[in-house]
Amino acid sequence: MLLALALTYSGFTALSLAMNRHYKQVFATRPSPLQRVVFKASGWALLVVAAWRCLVVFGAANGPIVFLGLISAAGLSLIVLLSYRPGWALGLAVAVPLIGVWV
Amino acid sequence: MAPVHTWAGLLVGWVLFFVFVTGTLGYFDAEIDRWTRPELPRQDAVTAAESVQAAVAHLNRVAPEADRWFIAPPTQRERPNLYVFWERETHGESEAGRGYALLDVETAEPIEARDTDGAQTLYRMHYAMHYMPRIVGEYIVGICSMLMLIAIITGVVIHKKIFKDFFTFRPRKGQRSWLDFHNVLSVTALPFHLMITYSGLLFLAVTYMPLIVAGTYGVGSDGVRQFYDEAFPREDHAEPAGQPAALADLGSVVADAEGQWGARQVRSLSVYHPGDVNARVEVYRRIDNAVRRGDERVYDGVTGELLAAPAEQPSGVRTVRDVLLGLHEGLFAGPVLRWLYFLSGLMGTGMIATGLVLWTVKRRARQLARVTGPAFGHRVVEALNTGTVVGLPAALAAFFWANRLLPLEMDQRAEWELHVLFIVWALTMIWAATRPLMRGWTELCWLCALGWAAIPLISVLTTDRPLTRSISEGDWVFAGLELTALAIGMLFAAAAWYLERKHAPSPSRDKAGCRRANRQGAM
Repeated sequence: MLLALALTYSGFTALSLAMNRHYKQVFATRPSPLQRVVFKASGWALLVVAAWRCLVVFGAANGPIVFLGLISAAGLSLIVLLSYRPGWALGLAVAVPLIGVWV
Repeated sequence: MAPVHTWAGLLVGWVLFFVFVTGTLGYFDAEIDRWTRPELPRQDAVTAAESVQAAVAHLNRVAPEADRWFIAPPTQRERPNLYVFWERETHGESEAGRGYALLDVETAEPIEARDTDGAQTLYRMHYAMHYMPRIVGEYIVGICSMLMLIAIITGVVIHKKIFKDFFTFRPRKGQRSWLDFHNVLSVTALPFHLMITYSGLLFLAVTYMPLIVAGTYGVGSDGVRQFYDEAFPREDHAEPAGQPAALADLGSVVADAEGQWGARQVRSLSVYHPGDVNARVEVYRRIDNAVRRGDERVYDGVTGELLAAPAEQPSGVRTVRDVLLGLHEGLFAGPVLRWLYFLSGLMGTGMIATGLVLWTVKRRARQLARVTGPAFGHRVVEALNTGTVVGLPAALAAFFWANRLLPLEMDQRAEWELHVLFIVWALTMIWAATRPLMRGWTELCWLCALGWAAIPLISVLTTDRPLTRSISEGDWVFAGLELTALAIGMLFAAAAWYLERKHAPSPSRDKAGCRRANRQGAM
């Protein structure tokens, strides 16, 4: 469960970094076109893996509902962090999946 | 589209806020129920087999002639204590024809708790309101939900950059920030908002649209009854034969069902015509899956033989309805999903609150600039916003206080718990209407902070279950509720502290800053 939440959060972080505005919040520069493509692709990939984790852990009936709930939880926390503590937002995106895998 | 969104949302916003708050609490109704009856024993280790033995012993004594017994063992989240219910159909709806009790499993004797409705009336209010006939409340909620659905759909249409602004929140920018936050709460939980509003309407579709049933079954209550009989047929139903016969051992019936479904999977049982040769036992399965609803097995009540197991597939229409209603109630949700439901409900509540505040923030500067002062209508909206968004949470805290502090022997105690809620809410409304705008917000935030954060303290003083004991014994219903109350209290304290700082007269601020703050209407 924690892993699914972490993957959703990291996926969203990558997708946000593919956008100029949010990349600037974190790094204070603009992303190169290549970086944008990489962030976008890895963001979507992470979300797909997160959705798959939900299906495995919670089953085909409850899994999609859990995933939608995780989108709300991960999205809200990322948006708040990006606005007030952009550094933490990035750090969490790296740290939480590692903790998730470890647990 | 934009004016439709604005005015549909504003008109029903205060009712919707009430509906969302009470409905969101409903996701923890069983937990609140248990917290509001602290004198009841913890029964979560009791098995279904032990439960039916005690239940049958009790029901044989108090209601051997009943047409139906209902037994819910405390093996499920929604029943913290063994619950039995009986009814005699021949007595109609009269008091003598039905009864219920919570039972001690060892002695099969009823256990008494304080007179409270716990979370159930709070929950009921989210679709039927209070202090009015049920049908009136249902129509009010129905109309508001319909406007909510319109507000959601128009909201999606008028949101110009729904994907581009998905992660966007720009703080400390006045109206811009409110709109951003309104969008964030709306968009990230959009599937929940749509589902909960649409399925909420579907719950009472037959009430709201009686002509659909009347078109096929005729006007009047007979037609409605026939519709329900056909839409929800009972499997292997039998009329009583009038010949007495001993009831089968329900312990082995439960064991058979658990053998099929797994341990602790029996949710409840109904015994029809106990003591008759045509007795029937229906065993219902625990709901832990969003798609599979209402699994049940029917047994012969004398021989204990299995008569029917779920085989028949309900119609497509019925399946869609069942799944949507199941999604709304979330009975299948385990702890993780339950908290996600709770979070989504809070986000819906926040969406409504930010929408209401946005309406006033957008108009406040112009209203304050008027020579004659803000228009009456504007002042009403401001007061209703304050009195609802921070008044209702304070009133809910008062409800929890009342549960602990009202004298146990008080007449109509359960009703008074709710009277306290509404009296406090009315007082906060008056407060909001009479205090200067930002003082009203700040002071009511402090009141909420105090009210919620003090809930664990009141438990220490009035029960033998202080928070420390609940935590050390691993009683996560009590501990969870009180820790959540503490967290809510601290959030309100943070909000109040923020508002205090923001609106304190500060000498260091330059004149332009002051003017800007005034112009932005101070929020």
